[in-house]
Amino acid sequence: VDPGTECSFCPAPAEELHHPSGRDHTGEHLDPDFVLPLCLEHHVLVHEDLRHEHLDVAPGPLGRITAVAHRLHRLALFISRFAGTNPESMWARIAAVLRTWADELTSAQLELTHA
Amino acid sequence: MHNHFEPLPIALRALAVPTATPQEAATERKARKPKRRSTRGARRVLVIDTETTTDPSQTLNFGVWRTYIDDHDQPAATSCVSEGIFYADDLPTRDPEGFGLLEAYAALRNADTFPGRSRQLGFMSRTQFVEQLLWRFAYKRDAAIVGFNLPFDLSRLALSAAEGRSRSAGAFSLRFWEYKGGENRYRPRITIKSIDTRRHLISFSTPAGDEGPYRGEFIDLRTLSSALSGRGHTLEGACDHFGVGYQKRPAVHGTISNNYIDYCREDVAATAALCRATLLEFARHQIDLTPGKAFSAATIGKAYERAMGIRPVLERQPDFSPEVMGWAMAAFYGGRAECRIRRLPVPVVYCDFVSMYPTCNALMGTWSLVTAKRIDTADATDDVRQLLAAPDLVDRCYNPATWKRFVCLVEVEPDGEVFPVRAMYIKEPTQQDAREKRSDDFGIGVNPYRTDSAWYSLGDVVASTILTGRPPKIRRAIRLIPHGTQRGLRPVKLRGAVEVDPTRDDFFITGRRQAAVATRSA
Repeated sequence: VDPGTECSFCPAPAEELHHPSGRDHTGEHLDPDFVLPLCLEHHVLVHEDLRHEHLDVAPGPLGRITAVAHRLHRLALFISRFAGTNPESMWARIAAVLRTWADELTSAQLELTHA
Repeated sequence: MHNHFEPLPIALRALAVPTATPQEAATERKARKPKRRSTRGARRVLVIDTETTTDPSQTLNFGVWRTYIDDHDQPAATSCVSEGIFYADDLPTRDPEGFGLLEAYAALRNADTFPGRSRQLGFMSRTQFVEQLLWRFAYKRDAAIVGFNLPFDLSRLALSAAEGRSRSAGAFSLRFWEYKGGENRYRPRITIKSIDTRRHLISFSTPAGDEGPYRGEFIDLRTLSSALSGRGHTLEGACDHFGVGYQKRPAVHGTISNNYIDYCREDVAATAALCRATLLEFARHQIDLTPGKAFSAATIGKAYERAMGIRPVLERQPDFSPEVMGWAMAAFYGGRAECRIRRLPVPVVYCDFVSMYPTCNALMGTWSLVTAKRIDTADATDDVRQLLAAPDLVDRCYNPATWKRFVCLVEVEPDGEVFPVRAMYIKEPTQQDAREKRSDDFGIGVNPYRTDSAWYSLGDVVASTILTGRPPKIRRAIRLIPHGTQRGLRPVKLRGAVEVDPTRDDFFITGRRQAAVATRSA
């Protein structure tokens, strides 16, 4: 992290880079260049969110659709943190719609699998 | 005058002199200190409520939980990350219809979570709930466990209860997990020790194989709301007091229906909102106390004393007589309530004494004792006898200057005079006593008393003289005299607003004024 860079959530100095879209089942980053600077506190927090929904690691090999769904699920959680305490804020609405798209993709993949 | 005295067991407060040296005691405290885990980055909260059968067994039917993960700079219980329903393990066989309703409800309804979170309403058995939420989320991830009348909900979730041992002696020890039909020793129990009907000490026990004790954080909002407001509440009453809009919907208890499930979910949502409101109020008190340990207004007051740097008497003055300390402890009778005539209409005069403790303390000037560098004692037997024999004693009590003379401990020989006594008034409770929730424990009554010798504060002896119509026999009296001001005292801000400098202000007066302002603004 470049010195003087602020955390994406707060004015504290950023100490680590977070990969919002995470890794695939082999440990490779899905989007290696998509990184955001975070302070330690907030990096712990966003990973706590991911762990709570079992999204900290990919569940297995990701197809093209499930990989996008995985990214969107993770991004929805990340963006919802920008909403702070306000469930009516712009960030909250974006997080909600990302979540809906992720769920739709997951359902679509399930339908394809069963078909 | 009172010839018929009934012998009763009485209880006295006493000074227990530790046998360990201060160094040994410090080492022991350090060894027993609960392990504080790092809660860096996130605050976790688990809010629960249970619904039960309506028969005397009050067996668990189902319950609702909500989990919260919050940023440290946000109020706790803000970002709901999951919501769900748990049901009794035997519900599918005991009440298949009710279970079917619960299952259908969970499949069709969305969870009331923060935008971006899973909208799937969780649905699991009690066993799955204690594994996934109580063990993995609360114990392993240090989430605070929150409820309104939490001991009841925890006891409904437990598989069995036993009497606690060693450090949990006198407590209920609840078991939640089993392994191959027996107790899972690698999981903690939860111990609940009741101080009274409103206050409970709740903690995790140490399971086998754990590195160190983790006691957990249990927040009973019934206790916390009472500690912050100074009076008991129902959930609705507490919500009203702390500005959370909530009105319970009518529901038939005991029979599972969609309306009853909605009722329980709304209760949990209101409990979470109340948790947010009370923790925000609690955070205004800049004191070193966790919300789960705020048992009463007195606990909060004591935390303020620590924040002001006030040290206990024996710490700042190790040569202070342990005997005098013991007499002072024996003379303390707080929280007394007396009702001599029941179920009989009589004319009454309504006497409302506002803020008894701070008023008496302010009148007596005891703050100087609390902050003194040193407290000396002097014999005051003649002075006290003179005061009590004064024909205008009642009139003198209307003069604030008289109260300054009350900072005395008095040894009396009660012979039928009216005194406060901590006694076991009900030895064998009848069914009516149980119905009216009369306790068979020690309680404080104010009644004619006869014993060889007893220590009282002079204020109580004055009251006794007025109530009885004559002074009791005084063996001796000692006056407590403060000298100087202890070092290291520092100002605090009450509720983050009003500064109190312990070297200059009387905390009893400033604190009371601030509490009155807080009550009006709440």
